[in-house]
Amino acid sequence: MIQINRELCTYCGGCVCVCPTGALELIETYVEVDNEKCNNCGICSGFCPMGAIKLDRTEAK
Amino acid sequence: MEFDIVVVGAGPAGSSAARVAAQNGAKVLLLEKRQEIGAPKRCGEAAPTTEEFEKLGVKIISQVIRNEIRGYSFYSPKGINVKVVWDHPVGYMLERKMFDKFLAIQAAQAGAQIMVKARAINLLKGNGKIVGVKINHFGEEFDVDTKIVIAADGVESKIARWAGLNSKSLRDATSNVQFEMAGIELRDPNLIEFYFGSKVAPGGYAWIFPKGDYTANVGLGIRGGQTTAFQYLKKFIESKENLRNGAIIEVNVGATPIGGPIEKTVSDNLIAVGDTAGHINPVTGGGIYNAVLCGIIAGEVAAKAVQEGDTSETRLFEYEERWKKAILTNLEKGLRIKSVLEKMSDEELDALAEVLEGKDVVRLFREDPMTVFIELMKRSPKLSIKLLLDLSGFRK
Ligand SMILES: Cc1cc2nc3c(=O)[nH]c(=O)nc-3n(C[C@H](O)[C@H](O)[C@H](O)COP(=O)(O)OP(=O)(O)OC[C@H]3O[C@@H](n4cnc5c(N)ncnc54)[C@H](O)[C@@H]3O)c2cc1C
Repeated sequence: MIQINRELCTYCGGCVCVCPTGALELIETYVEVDNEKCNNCGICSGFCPMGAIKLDRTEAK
Repeated sequence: MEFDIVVVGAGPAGSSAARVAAQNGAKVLLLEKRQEIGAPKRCGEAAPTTEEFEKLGVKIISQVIRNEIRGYSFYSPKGINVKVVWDHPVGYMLERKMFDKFLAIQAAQAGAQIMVKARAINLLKGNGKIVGVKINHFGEEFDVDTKIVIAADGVESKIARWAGLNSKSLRDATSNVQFEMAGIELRDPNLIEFYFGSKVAPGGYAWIFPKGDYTANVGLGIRGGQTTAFQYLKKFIESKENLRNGAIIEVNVGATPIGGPIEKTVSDNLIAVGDTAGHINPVTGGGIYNAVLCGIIAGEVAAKAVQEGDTSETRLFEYEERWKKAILTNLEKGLRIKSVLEKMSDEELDALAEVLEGKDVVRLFREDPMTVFIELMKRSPKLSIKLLLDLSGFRK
C-alpha cells in the first residue's frame, strides 16, 4: 500500500508517469491509487519530487 | 455527441493539434481535465526564438514573452564557470500559462470545441477499435464518438497505455522541483545558468532561468533517490547568496521523460503526441517546441485521414514518418549526450570546464573543435577517450 500525503503533493503527475503497472491516476488535484494494480514496487515513492509518497510495506501481500 | 477528432490534453501539443485539425476542416473536441489551461505550470519556460516558431507558422504574441535569452552559463562541480554567449537572442523565456492559453484560444478561433474540467476516463472500443472517449465533465460521465483520438495528455500518458502503445521509455524520467522566485539579483539577466555536480543534483543539474524584473525560475532535476529534489533545491538556494533571501511565488513540480520517444506513436484511430510520445529533448528536458511541431503534424494528418475516410494505423503512419524526419536525429543525439553527461564524474566535469573556461566557446566549437580535444587529452586522457567513444556512438 502506498500512502500519499495530500498536503505535500503538488499533483504533478510524476508518479503516474513512472508507475509500471498503471495503478495511479491524477484526478486534477489528487492522486488515486488502484490497489488491485499497485504491486508495492515503491518506484513512485522513490521518484516523487516532493517526497509525498510513502510505501507501507507492512500491508504488502 | 459525435466528433471527427477528440484531442485529450490542452498543453502545447494538444492545442496545436486541435487548431490545425480544425483549420483543415475537422470537427474537433479538445479536452482538458484541469480547471484552467496552462496552470499550474510544470515548466522552466525556456523556449526557442519566435523566428523558430514562425517557421512552424505560429506567430507568438508579445504578451507571452517575458525575457530574451542570449546564452548559457555553466558551473562545474568545483564552480568553474563556462559561458556560451551569442550576440543575438537564441531563445525566449515564456510566461507559460499565457502561452498555453494563447494556443488554446487559437484552437477555439479555428473552430475547435474546448471543455475544461473534462477528463478522459477511458477509451471506447467497438470491434477492438477505438470508437470514442468516455469523459467525466464536472462530475458527470458521458461518451463521445470519434474517428480519431489524439493523445496529448503529457507525462501521465494514460491514453497511450489504454490504447496498448508501449510507453516504457517514459518511465526513464527526471524528478524536478522548481521555485519561481522574485526579488533576486542575477549575475546576467539574459543568461540561463546550469549547475552541475553530485552534491548539487546527482544525475541531473540545477538551473536558474531569468524571467526579467528580478524574477527567475530556480529549479533542479535528479534521477530520484533517498533525498528528494525538493530537499536538494532548498539546499541549493540556501547555498546561493543572491537567492537565499528571494521570495518564492510559485512551486512547480514535474517529471521529464528523458528516455527518448516511445516505440510506436500511432495505432488504428489513435495518435500520440508531445510528452506522452517522448518528444522531449533528453539533454535539455525541453519539450515545448517539439510538442507544438509534432502537434501541428498530428492535427494535419488526422484531419486528412478523416476526410479520406481511412483512419487506420497505416494511414496515420504518415504522422510518425513526418515527426521522425523533423526531430528524431535531434532526439537521438540528445540521448547520446545525456548518457555521456550522466556518466561523467565531478572530476571529469571539472576537467572539461577547465579546458573551456574563459574561451569563446561558440567560435571554438565552430572553428576549431580539435583544440578542445587536444587540451582535454593533456589534462585527462582517460576522459578524452571515453568522450570520443561515447559521442561517436561506439559505446552504449
Ligand atoms: C520542471 C519542468 C521544467 C521544464 N522546463 C522546460 C523548459 O524550460 N522548456 C521546455 O521547452 N520544456 C520544459 N519542460 C517540458 C515541457 O513542460 C513539456 O515538454 C511540455 O509541457 C509538453 O507539452 P504537452 O502538450 O505534451 O504536455 P502538457 O503540457 O503536460 O499537457 C498535457 C495536458 O493534458 C492534460 N491531461 C492529462 N490527462 C488528461 C485526461 N485524462 N483528460 C484530459 N486532460 C488530460 C493535463 O492536465 C495537461 O494539461 C519542463 C518540464 C518540467 C516538468
